Amino acid sequence: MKRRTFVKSIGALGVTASLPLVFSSESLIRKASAAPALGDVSFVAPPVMPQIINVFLYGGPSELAGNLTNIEDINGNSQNPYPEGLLRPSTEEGGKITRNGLWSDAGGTAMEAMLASGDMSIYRTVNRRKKNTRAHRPSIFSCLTGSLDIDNSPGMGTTLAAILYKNQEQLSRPLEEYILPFVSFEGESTAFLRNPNYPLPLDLQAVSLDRRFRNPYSRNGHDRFDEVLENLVSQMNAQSRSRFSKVFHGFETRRKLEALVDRFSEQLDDDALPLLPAGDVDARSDGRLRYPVNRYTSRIRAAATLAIANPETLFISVGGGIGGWDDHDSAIDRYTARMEELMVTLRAAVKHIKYASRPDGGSTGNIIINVFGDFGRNVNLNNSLGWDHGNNQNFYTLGGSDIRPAGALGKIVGRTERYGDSKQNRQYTRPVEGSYEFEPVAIAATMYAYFGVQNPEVLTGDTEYYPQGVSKIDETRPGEDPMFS
Amino acid sequence: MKKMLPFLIVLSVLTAGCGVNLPGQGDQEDLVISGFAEPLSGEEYSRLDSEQQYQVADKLLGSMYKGVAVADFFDISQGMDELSLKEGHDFLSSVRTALSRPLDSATLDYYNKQIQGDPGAGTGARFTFTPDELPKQLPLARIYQYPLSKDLFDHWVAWHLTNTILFSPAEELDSVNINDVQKVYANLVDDLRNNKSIRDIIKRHQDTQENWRRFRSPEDNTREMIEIYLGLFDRDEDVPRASLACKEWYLTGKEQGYERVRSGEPNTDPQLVLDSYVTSCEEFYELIAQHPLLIDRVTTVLVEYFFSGRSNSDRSKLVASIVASEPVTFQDIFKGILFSREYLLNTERPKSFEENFLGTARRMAWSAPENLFQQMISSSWSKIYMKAMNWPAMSLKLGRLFGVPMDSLSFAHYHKGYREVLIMAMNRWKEGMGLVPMDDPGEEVTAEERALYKKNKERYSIVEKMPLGEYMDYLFLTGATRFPTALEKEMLTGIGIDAYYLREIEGEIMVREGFHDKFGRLVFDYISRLPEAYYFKAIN
Repeated sequence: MKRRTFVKSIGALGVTASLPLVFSSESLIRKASAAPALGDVSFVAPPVMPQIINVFLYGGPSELAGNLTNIEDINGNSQNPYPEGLLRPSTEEGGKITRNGLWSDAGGTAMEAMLASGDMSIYRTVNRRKKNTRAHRPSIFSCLTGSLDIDNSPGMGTTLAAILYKNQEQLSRPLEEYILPFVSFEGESTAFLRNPNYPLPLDLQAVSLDRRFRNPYSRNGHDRFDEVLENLVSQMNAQSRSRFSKVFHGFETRRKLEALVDRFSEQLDDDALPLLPAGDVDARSDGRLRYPVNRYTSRIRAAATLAIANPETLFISVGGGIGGWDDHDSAIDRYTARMEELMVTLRAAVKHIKYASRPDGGSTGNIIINVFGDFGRNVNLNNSLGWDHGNNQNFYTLGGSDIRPAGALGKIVGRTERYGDSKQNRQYTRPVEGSYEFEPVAIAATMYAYFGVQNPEVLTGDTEYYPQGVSKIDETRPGEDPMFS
Repeated sequence: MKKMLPFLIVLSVLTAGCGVNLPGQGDQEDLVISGFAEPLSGEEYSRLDSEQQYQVADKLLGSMYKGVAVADFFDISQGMDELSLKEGHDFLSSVRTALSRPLDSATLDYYNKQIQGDPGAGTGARFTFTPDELPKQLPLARIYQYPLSKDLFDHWVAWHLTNTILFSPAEELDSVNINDVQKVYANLVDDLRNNKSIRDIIKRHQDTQENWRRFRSPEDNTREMIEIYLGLFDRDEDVPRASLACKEWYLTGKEQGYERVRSGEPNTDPQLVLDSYVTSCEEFYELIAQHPLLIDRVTTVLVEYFFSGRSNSDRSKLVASIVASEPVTFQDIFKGILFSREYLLNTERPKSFEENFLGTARRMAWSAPENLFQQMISSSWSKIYMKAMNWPAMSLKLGRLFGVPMDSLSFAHYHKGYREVLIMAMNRWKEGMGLVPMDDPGEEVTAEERALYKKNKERYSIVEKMPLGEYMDYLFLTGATRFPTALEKEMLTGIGIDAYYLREIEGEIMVREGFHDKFGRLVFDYISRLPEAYYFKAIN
């Protein structure tokens, strides 16, 4: 199926499948008191609707793949030594530090290429100062809810849905008619955490898809009774809708996806991938893009494919199998391989997005991939040769040139220093005085701003921990000088 | 084999979860819980109508992956309009008593050999297992096959605990292997069998290599013990000091086999951790195990799962009520939850796949395939592979979520497996439910097959004579634990007539001879499409 046909076909189905099922906008607003301060949001619809792919690295990845600028000091104070090659530039035999201070075989080479092509920026100083914690749960929740009040906040994707729904008169067409606007490739995700006191229409709640667009939504057997049985079920569903709402929602989306999902899988055909410029390192012999084959490929490729094929998918969460970054032991080799696989996959995804053509001829420069995790890690190599929980982490952000301010891409922002007692475990990096830095919650604030929120602070603030709220990232900050000229 | 038959037939009834033994010597006395989590009394239970009694029984047994067939729970010989309990009004106390009573060694041996076979005696296994995954498959097979008893209960408690944050072996980690899964589970079962206290079990478990393969450095390990067992997520300043107490320990790399070893340089300086001084890792673990927050935290983790549909306020009250009763063992807490009025009457929550699939299988007298547990645990091709439902067994580092995953993909797999492997597999339940007659299999068959024949004979003689309305009551009570509405009866009758499963004779609509099973499948298919089929229901 051609992409144009595909988009048209899902559009036709979507109109019938996305009728409001339960809630009117009135009920949404009436119950908004327990949710982020939606009523205080100043919203101006963006000229181009962004699409965000949020890749969350569960466990908390070390920052070292993207920041070896302090490695000599780190190594000199670590309880256990780092490999010798990590202390020398990659221009020397066996050296692994790239020009911008990246770890060459931990994705550094791929990152250098994306920086050079203006497809990526790295922020090295995502630093938690408000309600600091090194525990997984509160860290994950604050990152993915975009709030420090983690026990009373919905996921960032849910908040985004609520903002757009509340302001949908400013959109080119009602949000409820969008096809699959909110999607998870990680099953249940904190990014889509619901607020029981703040319901959204069914079609604005996230659906989770298989990373290979396999179709478990179909039913085998009893086809001849399907229609009559479904009719009877629908007559009995008045009670189920509220009383058994979770499963009711599951059945409703099953019905919708049963017909849709096979059409997505066609988009995963290798021949649907774009042609790359001659000589590109990621091109196969016929010139089309070739994704690497590794543990990250299927999810990231599926997310990119969906975003390209369906401009109405606005927020996609990717995680699950992306986990395993909790490197407390035997870290060096495993982390190196993992980061390398992740970054070469992201490089392919960026090219997929960049060179894909949309059926309406529209740009794919509205698609952004954000990559971050729970927190950063200590830089001391502990006695199990791993890194324990830390704070400062990197934020990798890719694509989205149509959405960002000028100069937002192709740079590394933030400078760090090692801190902590020598030969003790708790050693970590922190921003040097005067360096730009931001809270992890700023990533959610920035996403809200892309979608038209003029004052994201009202969404990231809360009455208890940080009333003034966290601002969006300042993407106009200049980049740092290379580590080596 | 023949001479054992009468005895084994009794056991097979126990398997169905209905017939329960009287209290015997050595039974554990149950903790008395008062306040908000107080138990549902037998008198209150007896005041419920028959449908509600069956729903309560389903919730109690289904939570333990068991279920009782309608024909075992009720005397249906007088028809579905005149149901009476086979167990009288002592159902709750009978189950409670059974869960406190260990199987005698001969009976336990019988079931173990039935499950895995007995090559010495030349008998085959009821179930097949994947050798590399046996430690995850066998526990579920035992829970499914053991009759109500302390052995069943201990295994179920251990299964539940090893799937929570409290004791997950975390097989997904590179440093963990299947032997760690086996050790964590088997040690828990041993401790439970011996009625060890919660504090003793947690003290022992912390100080194991398996725990260190999950939490792999002094800082990781001590942080997680504080978080997991005390629920303290904001004591970051204690972690470096606690890790100093454990600094002698470390985990070797892959090449060295991920062994927990000592450096030979123990800490000698007392460290202030959680307002107490500890010098060694052993002292730190003791501090955790004896901490005042431990019982509260453990209870909270369990209440969060079983009462996931209740408000924060109610869950807090339930925890407070159970903790105030001073539980000592995990069994105390689990029984406190399971038998509470709040759970049995007032809680509505989605069923996990084990709860729903295995519980319904028992209600339908479903004949399980030999590879059932391979499919559920390990077979990625299977429609009932729980990992595809985001519900893997003993795998996740931080255990399964408090709530059953109900996102669209997870639920799609859940529904598909439940419907297509259990509900639509008519040949696996039509005989057990008595919808078709069975040929006499003779005497040279297993006790299970013989028992099935006996039940079939008894049930079929009743079911085949049921008027259509009562037959639909029988199907609905089995599949949905409720009677059908008038609309459902009317609509399904119409569909059944169109499908040629029903016919009208002299103004009366009845099931065509030989079509009870197909009409049953139609009704069950309908029920499987109802959201309620995936919930334990509240009575009130």
